[in-house]
Amino acid sequence: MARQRKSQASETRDVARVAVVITPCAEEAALRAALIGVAERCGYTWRDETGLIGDYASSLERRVVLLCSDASLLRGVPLTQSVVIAGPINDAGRAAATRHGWSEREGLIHATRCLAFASEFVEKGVNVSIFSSDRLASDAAKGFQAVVEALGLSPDAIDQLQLLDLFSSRQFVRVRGAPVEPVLSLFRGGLSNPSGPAWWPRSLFWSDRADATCPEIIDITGRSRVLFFGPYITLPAGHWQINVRFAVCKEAARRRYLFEVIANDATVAHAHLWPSDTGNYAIPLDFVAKRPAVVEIRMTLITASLHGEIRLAGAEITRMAVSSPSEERTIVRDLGLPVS
Amino acid sequence: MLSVRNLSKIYPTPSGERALFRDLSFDLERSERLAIFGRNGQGKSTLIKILGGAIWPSSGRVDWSMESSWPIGFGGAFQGGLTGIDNIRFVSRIYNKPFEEIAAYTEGFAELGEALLMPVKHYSTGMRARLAFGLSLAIEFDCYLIDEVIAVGDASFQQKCQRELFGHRADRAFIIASHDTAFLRQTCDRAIVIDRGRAKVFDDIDLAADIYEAIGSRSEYEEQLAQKIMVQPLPAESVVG
Repeated sequence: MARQRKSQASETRDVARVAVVITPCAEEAALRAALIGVAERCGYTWRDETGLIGDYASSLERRVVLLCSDASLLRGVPLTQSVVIAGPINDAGRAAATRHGWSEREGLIHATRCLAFASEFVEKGVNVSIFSSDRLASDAAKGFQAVVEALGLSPDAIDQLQLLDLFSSRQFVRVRGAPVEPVLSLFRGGLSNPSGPAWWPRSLFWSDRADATCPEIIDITGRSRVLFFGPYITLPAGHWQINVRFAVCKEAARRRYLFEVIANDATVAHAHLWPSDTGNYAIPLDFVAKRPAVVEIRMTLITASLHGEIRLAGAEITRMAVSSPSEERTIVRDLGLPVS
Repeated sequence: MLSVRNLSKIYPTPSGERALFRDLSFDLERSERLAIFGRNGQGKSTLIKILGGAIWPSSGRVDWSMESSWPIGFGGAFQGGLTGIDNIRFVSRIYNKPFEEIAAYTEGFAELGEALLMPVKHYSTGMRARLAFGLSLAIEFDCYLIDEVIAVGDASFQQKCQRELFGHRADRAFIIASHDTAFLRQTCDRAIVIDRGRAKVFDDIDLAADIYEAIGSRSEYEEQLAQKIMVQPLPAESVVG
């Protein structure tokens, strides 16, 4: 019996099923190529979407690296380690939309779902590390080594020349987009330590002009309508508070507004506002999400207006508490790459 | 064509300047129809009178390259001491039109009968409006300025007005100030909305009418609601982002 238990223990130690989720970004192809090289040199097999990750569940591979951009493909796969590498969130959304023929909004929902992956897998005891692709590209050697170590692979297997070649290749054009920090910062403190507020800037929101990014100045002239909405970022389950910060001019202060938070297509918080004067305002909206939720914040002009302007600064997101107090374990590690 | 550039009208009051509108600019071609929306006292009639040359603006320009009527409104623009016929004669001379022709048309249209031989100061507002309409139609202007007189008289007279104005003279320009949003939605293409010292031009008549109807209605319920949900702005130092 003891020999059998020892044999099972050593078998378990030999098992290493690691997943790397890379949201669409400029560095995606370079990262995949570099990871495949490391995996093979470490004696791992590797699979990506074309190799039908889902079929892995029925295979007997014990040391494998799974590469994908959609975390949902990993459901049901017994992982031991996982790394998420996230690119600029709006670029990820657009790339996903282009790839799958979706709207940009659907693409963004898909991209942020990859980041909420961390909370979905926490109950399985999987260690998840999150990186920003911007930081990896700024220092490829150091950043990639950190990724390899997080996966439990040997840094000696890194081919530095291949890495430099991949990241310096001119084909990898860097695309500007909304920074990923507004999303990543929500995960850094972990479930047991709700971190300080994350900031969702105006650039993450859309305006009432079809699919246009929210402008710096919103002209409220016109009928009653939604003035801005977004950002369709997936938040993990928990008790959240969103503070929408904006400014109104004297004319806009005469109008009435409705603020709503929609999570997974249901309105979970709302507030009416009639500003008394020109100035800056912050509207707190509290809600509890029992499961990871795609979040939309909406500001509606209730009565038509002849003139007036509003400036949206953004939204402050604070995690007030975990949804399930028993899940008191860290799911995210910040690997200490320099904050720019 | 009518060209208006940076038109403003500001009145001095004991408590400071009161602007009816500032920097209003728009163009109007022959056959276009422009509505003017605004609550009472906001400046609709003043704008019509400025366009018609009856009063001066505070600043800006009004350039006409077509002939416009006087502001046709309940005010009349007639000499009260003169009879209806004499007013017709007076206006015909101003516009250098043959009196007999103008008088015949006006008499037939306005249906005032022997009242035309009475001084205009004894006319009711409706009678004045009928005389004004008839006379302006007889003169045949390129652009008609109409200030809330579109619904005078009984139903058959109103139908006659609309037929003569928007049917037989469909190729003329019209600038119409009125509270009747349903009528203006049907008749006009564009609109100006005047409210609290601001005036905006809209190419969408329905949008302008919707905005006017919304700003024009503020019920007692809404006043009470305002008391409950009005909030104060944050201190300046708390601004983020």
